[in-house]
Amino acid sequence: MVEWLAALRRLARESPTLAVGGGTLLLIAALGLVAPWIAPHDPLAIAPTNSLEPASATHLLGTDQLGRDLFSRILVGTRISILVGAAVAALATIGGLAIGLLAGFVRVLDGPLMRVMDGVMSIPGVLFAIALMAVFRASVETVVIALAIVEIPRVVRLVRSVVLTLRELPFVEGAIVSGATTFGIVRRHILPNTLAPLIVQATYIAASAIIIEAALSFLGAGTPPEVPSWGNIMASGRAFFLIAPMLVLMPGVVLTLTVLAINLVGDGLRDRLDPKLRAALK
Amino acid sequence: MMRPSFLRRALAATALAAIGIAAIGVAAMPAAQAQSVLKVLIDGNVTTVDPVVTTESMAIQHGFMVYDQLFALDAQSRPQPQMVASYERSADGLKWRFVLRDGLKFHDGSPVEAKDVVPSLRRGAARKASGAALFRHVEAVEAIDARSFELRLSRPFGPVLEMMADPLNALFVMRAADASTDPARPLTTSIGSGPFRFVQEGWKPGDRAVYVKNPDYVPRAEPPSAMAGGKVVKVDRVEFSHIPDATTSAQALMSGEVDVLVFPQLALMQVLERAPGVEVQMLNPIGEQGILRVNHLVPPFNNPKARQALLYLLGNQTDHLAAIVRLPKLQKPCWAVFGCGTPLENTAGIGDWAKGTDVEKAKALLREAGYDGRPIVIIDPPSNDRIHAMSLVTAQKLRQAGVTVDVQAMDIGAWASRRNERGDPKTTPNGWHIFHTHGKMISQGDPLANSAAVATCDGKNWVGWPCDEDLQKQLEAYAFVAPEGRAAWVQSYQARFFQALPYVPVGQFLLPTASRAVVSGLLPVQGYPVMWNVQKR
Amino acid sequence: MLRYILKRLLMVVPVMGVVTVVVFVLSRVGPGDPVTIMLGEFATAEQIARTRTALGLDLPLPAQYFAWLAQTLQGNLGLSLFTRKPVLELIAQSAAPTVLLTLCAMVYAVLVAVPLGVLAAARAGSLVDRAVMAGAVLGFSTPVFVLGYILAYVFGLRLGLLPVQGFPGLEAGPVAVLRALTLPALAIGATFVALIARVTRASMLEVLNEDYIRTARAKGLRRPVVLLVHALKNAAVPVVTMIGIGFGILLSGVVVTESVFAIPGIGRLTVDAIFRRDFPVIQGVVLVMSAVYVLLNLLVDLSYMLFDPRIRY
Repeated sequence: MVEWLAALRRLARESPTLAVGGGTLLLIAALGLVAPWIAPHDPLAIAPTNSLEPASATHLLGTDQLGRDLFSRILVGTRISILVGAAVAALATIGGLAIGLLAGFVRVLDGPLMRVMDGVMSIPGVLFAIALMAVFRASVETVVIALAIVEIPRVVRLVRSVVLTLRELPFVEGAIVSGATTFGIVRRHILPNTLAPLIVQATYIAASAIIIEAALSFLGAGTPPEVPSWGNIMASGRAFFLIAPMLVLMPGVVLTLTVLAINLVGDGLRDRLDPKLRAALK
Repeated sequence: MMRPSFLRRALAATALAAIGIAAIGVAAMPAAQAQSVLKVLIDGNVTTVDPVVTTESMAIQHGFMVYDQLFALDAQSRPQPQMVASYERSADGLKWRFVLRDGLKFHDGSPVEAKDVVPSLRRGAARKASGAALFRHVEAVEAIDARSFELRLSRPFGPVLEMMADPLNALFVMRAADASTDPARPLTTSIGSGPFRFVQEGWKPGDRAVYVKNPDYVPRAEPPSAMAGGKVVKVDRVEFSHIPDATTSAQALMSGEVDVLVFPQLALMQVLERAPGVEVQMLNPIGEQGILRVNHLVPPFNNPKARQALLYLLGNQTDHLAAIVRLPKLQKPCWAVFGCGTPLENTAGIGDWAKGTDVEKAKALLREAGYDGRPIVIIDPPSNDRIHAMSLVTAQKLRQAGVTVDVQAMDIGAWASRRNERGDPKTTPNGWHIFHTHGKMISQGDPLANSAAVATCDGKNWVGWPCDEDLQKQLEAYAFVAPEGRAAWVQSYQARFFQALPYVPVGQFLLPTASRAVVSGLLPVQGYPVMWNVQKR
Repeated sequence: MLRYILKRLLMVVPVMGVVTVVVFVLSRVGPGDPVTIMLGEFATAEQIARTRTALGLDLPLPAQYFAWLAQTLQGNLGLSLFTRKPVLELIAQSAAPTVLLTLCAMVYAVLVAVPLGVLAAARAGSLVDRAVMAGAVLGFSTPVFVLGYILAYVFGLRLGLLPVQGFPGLEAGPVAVLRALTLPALAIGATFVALIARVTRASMLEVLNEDYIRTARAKGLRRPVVLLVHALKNAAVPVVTMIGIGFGILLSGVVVTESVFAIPGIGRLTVDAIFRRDFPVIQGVVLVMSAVYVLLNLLVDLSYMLFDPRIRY
């Protein structure tokens, strides 16, 4: 216990960004996890005759135009955002890793794969995600898939460049010459060296996914609107911005805070992992 | 050497021209200010000036500026002669003779004659539900002389005048040449005999349409009453334009850039009501009818008992109406199928559900209908906030009655497509049980125009496919009911309606119109606001 | 050098090929049917089928793709299924506010971010540096639509300084237009400021440590001159790259921001088209936006020849 605390204190001293970001993120994630049990009201229960009530003891942040409790909705929305962020990061990283390795090791596939990635990357992200969502039926799963597709090319580029750099290094070349299997090389040399930049990239993808999910929902093309995600809460409140601006501002501020925490974690990790990565590449 | 001098001369010429244009502009300005110009924001851009080829609201509003109708609906929704001076109906109701009133003139100066009316009615009949309903029973329509024409029917179709007075599917009178154009090909010029002239040069399809007062127009002597009565124009010029965004539209009105905002977004009502110099009026006293539609082909709603359970869940309709329009003064609970404040309003067949939601009764009915706990699929396009609100309220009420509900959200396009799927949601992935929509009360209140009431058993009727032969027979009979028999007809029809329940009326809600306080004289109408009688101080 | 330019130009072909296929497939495999929407609330199945045939929507997909591609290459992006207007005309009509907004945001971002980045690099490790970098993380983390609403709340609703939402139209004059674009440009620009400031700082730091700068300094050149003339020119490469890459972010931001501020631009056109399943418009917009992006990156690549004395082809 004491050792544990000491480790924490050391982390806070050595990498304050990581500590602050990580702490905030953990808190938000924990709140999201227990949200259904601590939310004071059913986030979905409508009461049309109690619409747009101001903040009060019963409704901490007031109610929306259909009489739903804003505080409970934002609280429960935390789960969706965290879930989407984590799932997209995982999916995009795994998918990107697979394609990136393929491109890096199979010469014939490199050209075509990378051209496809270039093509996909040249479609502006939100536009592409909107277009994808127009094809899928709206659900949390399809949002995750759509965002992963948008994010994969970045991972592919990263992995491929690492592979190409590593291939030229003496110890990898040696392994290739000595007849090691591709799988063995990937497992022993490539993966360990790709891991650090991948983790950093994954945090940025999570942050970006949370923003794009919110943007999609805000535009009405994201998670199904009955799911109280932050973007959906903002979307349903936007028509009332001139009368009740908090319907839009509150979920927005919480969203920003979450993304900020994740980005701080990413920056902190990058700064800590970078030296190792550089050493590996030297 | 040539070049610089040429350049200099060209520059000088350009500068002179610029000064000249500026001077003309300055000279023209005071003249423009002396005129009274009414700037109106409508629901979309006037992209076509032919009100026959389309049912777009913009084209209809354009039509009422430029053209005139044979009959028009008054404030009590009764047809009154407009271009017609007098008419006779034969005792058997098969022969109608109409005489046009004096002084009717097209904007090109030519007189309006019966030879213009006949092809106009025919062209209208090819595109408009009203004209089509009428012409299904028309044996012949012909000009008798310059001012009178005759209509001969094969059957004693009752609502002849109502069809000629329809404010949504208006049968406008055009010049014979225009009226002989293929009904599918839109006219690109607009020469009518109405109270305003269309300024062809001022028309920018993506931007604005401009009208000036028609000095030759002779209004009827009667005072204006809704669409009927004398159309007296009190401004010199009217400009229709459109701002796609609701907030921007409201701001344009608040800042005085425009004078009338025909349909402001309901969410902005409170802002507009509080804004200085802005007035909000309920011009349309009957508004819109909310519609809850079930799929009649699949369980549980293929059983009338399950449909009736919905009546007890909706109760006095206030939850649905509050969710749609929020402000109580815009809500008009009404169980009458053809609306309240309409000629066919009545209370036949309305049971005790209208007193308030009765969850127990709904549960009992669902049990009787054999509801087996299967998830009920409600399809919901959240981008349409009115339909979305209705969907959520219905879902919550069904859940309260112990029903498993699956609200499936989708964009409005997918929603429109999905409604055509007939299959059982249990076995068909795109199947559905319930959707909501709404329609203009003036059209919902007309048994000949209310598509949701059609209950033919051929599966060709509107999505939801209700089937009730008795009800449908009664509905079709309406066309041959004489005006004095309508009260009895609707008693019997409505009693049967609530047993068969082709759709569930969700009540009426009003769409207000906002204008600058300096604007007065906007007439209460059941269709779209009209610009005659409007004054600007 | 000419060979490089040609090679770089040729690379655009497969990229745009992928874009066209993606765009086409996406807009055809969805569940929505544009015809059902087009014909309105009370259409019959027969009317729907007839209209679908008339619009060529019942042909096999590859046939539809090549027909569409052939037309596209001739500059014909088709008609909107909904308004029956040429897609190119629709895009052109809504382009003005979008282009203006993008330019404003970009100019604002570069004007703010480059000096900030230079300042942070010059005073690396100082409080100023940390403040700039912290601000950058915050700017990077704030979604455009959230920032948009915060700005609208503060400057529009609370202070009443600027219009909350809306776009008056170009004929309202430059002052009204700029007033309407200020808040949205600030909102979109924020992410961009953060990105460019970071990159400027990083590349400045790298350049400042290189030998020739040290030599220049040793030769007695005054510090600000060194910084501006030598370092900035060399640091320009990554900054320009970032402007190219960031343009994609900017375009994405425009779609959302136009929605927040109710600006009738290309973003609005797209969102409306998607809700109506207006395939030709969706295709047209995504295609044009991607082409603009590809083109811009091409220009960025080519501009390296101007900016970086070390790059020779």
